[in-house]
Parts: sequence; structure tokens; C-alpha cells
Amino acid sequence: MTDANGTQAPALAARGVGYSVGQARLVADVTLEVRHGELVALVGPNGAGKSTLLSLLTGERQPSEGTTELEGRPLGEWQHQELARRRAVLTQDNHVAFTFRVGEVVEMGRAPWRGTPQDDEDEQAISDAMARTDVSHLVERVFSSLSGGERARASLARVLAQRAPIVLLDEPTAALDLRHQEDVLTLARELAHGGAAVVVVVHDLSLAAAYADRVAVMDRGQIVSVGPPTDVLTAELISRVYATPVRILADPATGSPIIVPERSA
Amino acid sequence: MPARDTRRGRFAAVMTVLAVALVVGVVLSAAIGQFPVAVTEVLGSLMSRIGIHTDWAPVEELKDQALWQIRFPRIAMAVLVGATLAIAGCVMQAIFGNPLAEPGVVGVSSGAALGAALAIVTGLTLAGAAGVALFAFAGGVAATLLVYATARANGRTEVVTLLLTGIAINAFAGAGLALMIFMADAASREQIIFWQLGSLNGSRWSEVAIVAVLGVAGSAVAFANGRRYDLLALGERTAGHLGVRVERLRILSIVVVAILTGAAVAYVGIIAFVGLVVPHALRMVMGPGHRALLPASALGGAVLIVFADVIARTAVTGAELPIGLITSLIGGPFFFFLLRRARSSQGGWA
Repeated sequence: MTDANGTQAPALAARGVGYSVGQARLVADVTLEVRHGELVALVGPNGAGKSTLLSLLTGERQPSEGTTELEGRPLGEWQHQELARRRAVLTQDNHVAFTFRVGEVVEMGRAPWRGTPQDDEDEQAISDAMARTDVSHLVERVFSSLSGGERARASLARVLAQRAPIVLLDEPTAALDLRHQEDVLTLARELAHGGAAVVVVVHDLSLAAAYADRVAVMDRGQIVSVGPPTDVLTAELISRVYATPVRILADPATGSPIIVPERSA
Repeated sequence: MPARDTRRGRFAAVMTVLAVALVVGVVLSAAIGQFPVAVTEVLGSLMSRIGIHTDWAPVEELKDQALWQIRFPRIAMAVLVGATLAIAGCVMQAIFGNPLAEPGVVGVSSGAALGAALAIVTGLTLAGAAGVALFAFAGGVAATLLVYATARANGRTEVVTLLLTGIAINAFAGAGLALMIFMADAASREQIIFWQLGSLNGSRWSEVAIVAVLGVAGSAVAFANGRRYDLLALGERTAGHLGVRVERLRILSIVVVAILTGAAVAYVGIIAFVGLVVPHALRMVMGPGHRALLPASALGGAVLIVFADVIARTAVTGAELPIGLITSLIGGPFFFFLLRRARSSQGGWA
């Protein structure tokens, strides 16, 4: 995973990437690198192209322009199984057909490792993932009978059980209460600081600011700014991108930016 | 993990119960009929063929012939047809992610029957019995592809869309069958009508052999993909992210469904609801994991058809009911029950 110069290739790289469906350009000229060991939050208004960009980075969609690479190798050259061992993905849709139980669903995350020496780790990976996402007590429950928040966490447990060094999470906090939102982002940060490359799509800008190493702001298919939260999340940029005036406060304890819409009294 | 242990225990129990039921059903079916044969004679005759000679073997040559030329091929056909239809249903439900998908309901069976009718009427039965099977298979593939192409949206199939597609395909195949009946001569006409009702009557060893080859081949492919079918329950995208080549699996599975349904329907006609009732009932008992569900469904389907055939032959004295009638009699209310459940769990039809 090191290139000719001895520097490590980025975990994920998009170079001049565009994606069009018919006349609509969903993603245009995006260049982004995500390195192992960092948590990158992808933010932006509805329809900005966050999920589309994520699906380009997973290799699920092929870009219309530009190239996408995973660990220095074009995504198109990876075998399905090989790719599944390097990167795990949480999609927004966490519906499970039939009456599979939570334990069985999390176990499915181990599928890519079947027949490899790592499948000895199955039990450990599964129970560890369930403990970290606070779903151990749900192991016997039928997945489709869970609440939205429980499903989201159980799906995240499946992603963790996969033990991939690159993790992409599409709105993992959407259905979660305050405590579990914090737990999930803490978990994402732990993964990153343990050496994984983590990309998270989130809507809550303050949440992104508090946990991400870097924030990438998308607007109409393009990344308009990327960098450390305090540099990127300025009142001017956010007000423009979201077309609504905002104020930036500083968290009294950590100093990380808190984004509040300007509301009239 | 306890979830897995209880389900494994249940799998073993279910397989044992079904295996015993199947043996009982087979012996019972061989003994019962217009020409009664004692259970001991059935066993004796079977054993003498594998080289174990006992006092139980029937003394009369006629009895032995009746067993081997009429009853045993019929029972073998019942076992094979039940198993293949149940596996076909199970695979179809896996790739549609919907427990209501079934070859009979969505029109694959009638597509296959239309193909077979075409072969009968046009006399394209050059290859003998295999010609009919080939046409039934082609009809099954065409219908499956049609359902697949029209009923799916975003990798999932809504109940309503699936059922409406089934209605459309059944209507079209029904019109085709009516046309075939209209064009056919008396003998072919009778043969086609027999298709629509389903019957195991007159099964021959040569036909059993063809169904066996296709059934075993199709089932082997289905069993080999059991784990991947489990992953499909997570949705196509997630299955893909876990390393499943979804598009390839789907196409392969459609061919498997068509082969299994075509093989089953080719000689015995339309026997509906087996693929719906059996996997669903088993899922309720031992969970939805396909590595257990597929073999259990095969056994369960065989048990269902063997017993349905016993009822078909004995319910009315001096006559035989069509077996499709029996399975639909069980399957219809069951389907209704499933629909009610799907409705309450999905909060409406949309």
C-alpha cells in the first residue's frame, strides 16, 4: 500500500470525478483523498450529491468522468470479495427481508472472511461489534421487529463485524437519539484513530464539527470546501450553501464550532 | 450464540420429523389404492430389488408389477415434484426478497404449461417426453424473466406489484392455453386440460429420470448459494458490499427457478402453492436461514405432495381427484392468511 516514493497511498481517492444520469450532473469534478487514520465528514444540503459520491467511492457506481481508487488501485480492478475485506459500507436503507435475528444479521458481516484464516475471529468480531453499538441485548430479537434506532445500530454492528480498514457510513445517525448519535460518532472516531479510514455522511453540522478530523462540504454535486472543521465551517460558507443565515458559536469546553440558524425572536 | 443453537436444534428436529413422515407417506401411498397391497409386501418388494430376499415379498407376480410399473414411479414423481417446487419457491422468495413470490402465484407455472401445450399441439415433441419438458422449461424461463423485469423497483419487489404482475402473466398464459385447447385435436385437448389441473397419474420411469436429473442439478446450484441468499435479505446493495456478485446470482437463480419449475410442471401439470406453503411454514418453525431452509423445504415439499397424492387417489371412490385441486385447497387459505399478515406488518399495500 505504499507507492514508488515510499509514501502511503490514500485509502480512498477520487480524482476529477463526475457522475451524470441523463442530463443531470449529480457529482461534478470532485477531488478528494481520505487517508487511513482520519475521520472525514461529508456534509451538505439535501440533494447535494453526498450519497452519490459515497456510492462512487464504494465502487458501486462507475464515475462518468475521472477516476476512483482504493489504496492506490482503481476500484474497477478489485474483485468483489477482495473489496469486501478492505471496505465496509452502511447504506441508508437498513431493511432486512424475512425474520432474521439481530445476531444472524451481524454475523452476515463476516461473510467476506469465510474460508480465510480470519474466520476464526468470527465470534469475537461479532460480540465485540454488538457490544460497541449497544445491541448485545437484542441478539435474539427479529431484526424487522426493531425500532428505527435499534435497526440503525444493529446494521452498524454488522459493518463493524466486517472489520474492514475502510469504513463508509451513509447517515448512520439519522434515526438515533442524542446519546446514540454521540456513541456512533465516538465509535467512528475510535475506528479512525485505530488506523481506519472513515467517511461519514451526517446532517448535523455541529456533530460533524465535534468529531471529524476533516469536513467536506458538498453543494450541487461539488465539494466547495474541505479541511479541519474550524477552517471550513464558517458562517459565510454555511449560510451560502444552505441558503439560510447561520451563526457559529464555539463550544465553551472544546472550542469546536456549533452551528445555529439565525432565528428571529 | 444461543440464537444459532436453538435454530440448529430445530433444524435437526424438523429434518427428522419430515424424513419419518416421508417414509411413512411413501409406504402408505404404495399400499393404498384400488388394488390393495399389504405394507409388508411393499417393503418386501423393495428389499427384494436391492437383493434382500424376505418372506414379505409379494407372492403374486401381478402385485410386484403393479408396484414397480405403476405405484413406485408415481411416488418417485411425487417426491421429486414436491421437492423441486418447494426449492423453486424458496429461491424465488430469496431473490425477490418477498415471501409471497411463488412460481404458481407469479405465473411461472402457467408460462411453463403454455410452453408444454404448445409442444403438444404443434407436435413438436420430436424428442419424445424430453421435447415437452424443453418447451415447458422455455415457457418457465420466459415467464420468470418477464416477472423479474417488470415487478422489481430499486432492487425490491412490492407485494402489490408482484401480485399484479402475476395476474397479468396468468391471464396471458391462460389465453394462450385456451387458444391451444381451441386448436387442438381431442387427444391433445385432454392432455392440455390435464396440465391445468395437475396429476401424477401415469408417471413413467423415463419421465422420473428426466425430472430427477433436472431437479438434482437445479437443487445443487440452489444449495451452493444458500449463504448468498441470506445476504440478499440485507438488500442488493448491501449484499454487493459484502462481496456477492448480485447480478450474476440473480440471473443464475432465475435459470434455476425455471429449470426446477419446468421440470416439475412438464409431466404433472400445474401444482400450485407448494413453493409458497412449504418454505413459509418451515421459516416459522426454524428461521429463514437458507442453508437449512432449502434442504428442509425439499423434504417438506416431497411430504406434502406424497400425502396430497394419497388424498387425491382415495378421497373419492372409483375416481381420482386432480392433485392441483388438493394443493390449491390447502394453499389458497394459507395464501390469504399470508396476505393479511403482510398487510398488517407493512401497514397497507403501498
